[in-house]
Amino acid sequence: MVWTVIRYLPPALFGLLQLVGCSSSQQASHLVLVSQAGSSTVAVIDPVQGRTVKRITVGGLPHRMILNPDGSKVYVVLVGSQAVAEVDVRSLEVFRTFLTAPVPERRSDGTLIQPHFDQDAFSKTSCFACHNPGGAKPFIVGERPVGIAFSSDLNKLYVSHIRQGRLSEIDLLSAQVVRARNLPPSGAASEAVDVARVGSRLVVAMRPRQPSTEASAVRWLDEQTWQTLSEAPTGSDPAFVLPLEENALVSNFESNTLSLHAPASSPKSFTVTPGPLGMLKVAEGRVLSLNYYSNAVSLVDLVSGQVQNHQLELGSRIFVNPTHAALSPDGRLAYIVSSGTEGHLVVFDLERKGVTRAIPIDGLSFDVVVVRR
Amino acid sequence: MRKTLWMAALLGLLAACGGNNGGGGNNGSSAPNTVAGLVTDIGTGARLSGVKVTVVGSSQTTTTDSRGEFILQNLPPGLVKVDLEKAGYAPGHGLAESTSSAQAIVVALKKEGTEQGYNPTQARTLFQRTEAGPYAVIFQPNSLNTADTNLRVVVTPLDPTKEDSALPGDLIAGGASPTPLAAVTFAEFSILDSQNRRINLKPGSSAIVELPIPPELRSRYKIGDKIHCYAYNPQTGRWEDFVEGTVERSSVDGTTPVLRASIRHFSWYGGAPAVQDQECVLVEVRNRFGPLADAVVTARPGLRAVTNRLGQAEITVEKGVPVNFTATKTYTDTFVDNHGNLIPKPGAKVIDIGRVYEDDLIGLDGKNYSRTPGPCPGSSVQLVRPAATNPLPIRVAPAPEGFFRANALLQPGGVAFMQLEKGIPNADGDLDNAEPAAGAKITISDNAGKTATLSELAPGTYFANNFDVEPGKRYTLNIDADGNGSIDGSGSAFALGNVAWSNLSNGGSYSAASLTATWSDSASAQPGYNALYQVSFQRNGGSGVSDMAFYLGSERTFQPRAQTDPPTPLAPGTYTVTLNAFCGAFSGGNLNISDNITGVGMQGQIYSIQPVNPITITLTL
Repeated sequence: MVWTVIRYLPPALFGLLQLVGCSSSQQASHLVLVSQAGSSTVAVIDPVQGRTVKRITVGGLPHRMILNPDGSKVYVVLVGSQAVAEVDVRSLEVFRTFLTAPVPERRSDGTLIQPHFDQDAFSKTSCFACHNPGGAKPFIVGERPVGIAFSSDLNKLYVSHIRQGRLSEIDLLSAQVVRARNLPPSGAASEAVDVARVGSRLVVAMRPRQPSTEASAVRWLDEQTWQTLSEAPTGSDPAFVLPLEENALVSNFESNTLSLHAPASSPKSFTVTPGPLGMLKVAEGRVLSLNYYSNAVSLVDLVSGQVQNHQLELGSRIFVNPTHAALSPDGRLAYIVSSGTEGHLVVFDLERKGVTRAIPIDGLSFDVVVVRR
Repeated sequence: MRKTLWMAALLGLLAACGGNNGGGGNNGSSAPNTVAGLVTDIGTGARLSGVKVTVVGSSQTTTTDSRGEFILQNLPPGLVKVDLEKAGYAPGHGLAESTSSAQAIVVALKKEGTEQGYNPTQARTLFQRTEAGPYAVIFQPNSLNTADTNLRVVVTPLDPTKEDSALPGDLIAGGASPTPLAAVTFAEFSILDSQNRRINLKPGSSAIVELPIPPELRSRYKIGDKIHCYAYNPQTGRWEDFVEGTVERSSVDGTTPVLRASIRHFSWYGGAPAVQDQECVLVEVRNRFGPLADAVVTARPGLRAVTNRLGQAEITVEKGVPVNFTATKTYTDTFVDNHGNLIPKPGAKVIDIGRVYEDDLIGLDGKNYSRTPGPCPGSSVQLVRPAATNPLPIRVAPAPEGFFRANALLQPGGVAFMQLEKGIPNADGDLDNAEPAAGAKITISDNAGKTATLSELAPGTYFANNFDVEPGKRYTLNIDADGNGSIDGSGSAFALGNVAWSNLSNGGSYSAASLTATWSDSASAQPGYNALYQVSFQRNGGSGVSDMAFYLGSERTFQPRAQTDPPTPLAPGTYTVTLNAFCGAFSGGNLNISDNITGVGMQGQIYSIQPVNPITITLTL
């Protein structure tokens, strides 16, 4: 009935209705959250309005983010503040923060860090409480947490660190680190650059200090005991581990490949365009690879091995340095972070295989998640 | 008819010069969608003619005239990116907005480094050495996109603490909320084949580069620190391909702290972390008649802003570090007559330039300039502050026609002294037909509120009366070389601390095998302080290889050894031991260090020297 009325409206009025329908008052059913490493914030973007509607200050160098299964909390890894920020999706506020490693008493040269005692830094839940813009120097401190994954029971987080190859287990109820270990290096590979959980196993990507041409390693650990189950070499700079059923897909930033690892078997390799970093499962057996150095994405069929590459461009504009992506609730769009110094959230239509829109965000942004409104 | 013309000229004059009350009368005429430019040599300050200017993404090109200037008209609206090429110089790049009012691109080019041959089938490390250390590129075999085996590699180093005006583009993480990037160390990498074509890495291949941390920044960036690195993309006019590099020891000399990073595309490349501690500064751009609207202000480290109708703009800068402000105002159909009046004349182009170098925004006049913590609110709308505010003044005027060279000495515990010459720079950067430059206006500040204007003792010789230079303090000079009201060049340096021997004394006797000479410097703990020490041991009456030892570096300890292989203790005997300390830029005493006073049409050095009285010691077996 409504459609009938609209069909017989004069064309000018119909156009006006369309304009109203597209006006900024319309809201999306979901929001897109982007970690903005340069400004210590998470941007909340309304994809219908095409703009950032809120900026949440979370802490130093926010990078990776994960959404909990019920969609109520987003966990943001604060690489520069040795902490994770828990963002409440309903209020879009930081609910709490928790450290991923202890606040040190001494520097690496053995001298006492007196301000840590003077300001009771050991009671803080994020180094950002003191090491923030205008606060204590240096701004970037700590063990540099990067990778993040949920435990099987969803009550804990695993966080991997670049410094000392540290793996931490954080109890979400108490917000305390309940287990931590410096993982033994594999050759020159000593930095635990990412962690993912595949069933009852953890997969940790270990890399050498960058830049390097030496091999990295993909290590499988028992989730309960953290005993090493197996290990396989991979490219010199693994960037991200995507859990896929019983496998783990690893992006190799320097060697331009994705490698599909299963415990105790040889990995299968897929060549993509230069600089694969983030990956997104878009359908069963299909992933989208975000290829940082080539300003492109690859759609990879893990069964057939077919790889389709697509430049991130709209008109004459090229969107550089894609890092991570998230799916829209209907699975038709991928929200891609273009993390050049001129930042954009790029909307990529997975059916048309092209960019349909670009929303300005901060430069040097990194990860993205989609949450219900 | 004559009366009509006379009236038109008078009206034009009034329109150009009349009033400074924000009515726009002081702003001259400025054509839309027009970009004017001025290109200089970063090493000499000289204007460069014959520079090819290409608008990126179009076929529009031009060449700089004999005054180093160019103009581009009828540009499409939006960001204008230009490439600048001149033989013997590293590629230059500039940005401006094509908008309703003309803007200027003021770019300094840097003379390129030494060409080195390279066969790309081989792994090899090539480097260019400067006073900061070796700038290196480490090639993997067959990583370059060519079959040519006779390549030439040119590495052009750039120290942003002295030469930031040669850095291309804006050092900004832009987008929805722009953040400044703080330049640390940079270089340009050019690889040319037999046909002089630029060669790059194969898609997917990489190389490793090592860029020395400038001595002034070594207290800030330590071994193991991570620094964000970027490559400049001339096509987009942005710094891209952000990756983390690590501060490590140079693989060339094993000692210099360098930023080591992976590179995917040879261009300008370097390290620049995002600035976290920002503040918003209110600036006011003025010429001799009053405030100027539509002037473009850039800050390093900081952002870019355009002045409002009151000549004011809020601009985000890094807090607590020295900031270079540069303002340009471009007139495209106006010229300045002999009396300094703006006269309309279709086709003319005038770029007014002004600079202010502030180590701390207390300012040269001791005033606290209006500033607030954090980035400026809203980058597009410039708020007009109440009259009670105290904006940082940036005075602009046409760039000087001559070339000035400054030589300034900070005598610890004594005076500040400067000589200024005017002449024509030759290919080596020295001035030919140099004459003393009289009438300059020079101010010195200790960046803590103490300031003085230098008096001219004799033509070209300037001296700060009643201004004691305190050991270990940093001082800034701002120089209006032609006395026309705008700052033409600026620079800063520390006055040396008190330097003295710690474990040697005149007449002392020491074991040649175990002696390690040490000395102290009262300013060594100051952030950014970087003194060079020159030590020599010379046996009295001796001239053999075991009779002398020499040290030049920034450590405060030295084990004197003969230059034998392997090094051996010095021969026993009586030695004269000298210790000299240097700070800032200084050419002399076998030192040749890049200038640290820079500007358009001027260049120079500010430094501090302290010789410690020679001592005589005896070395025993």
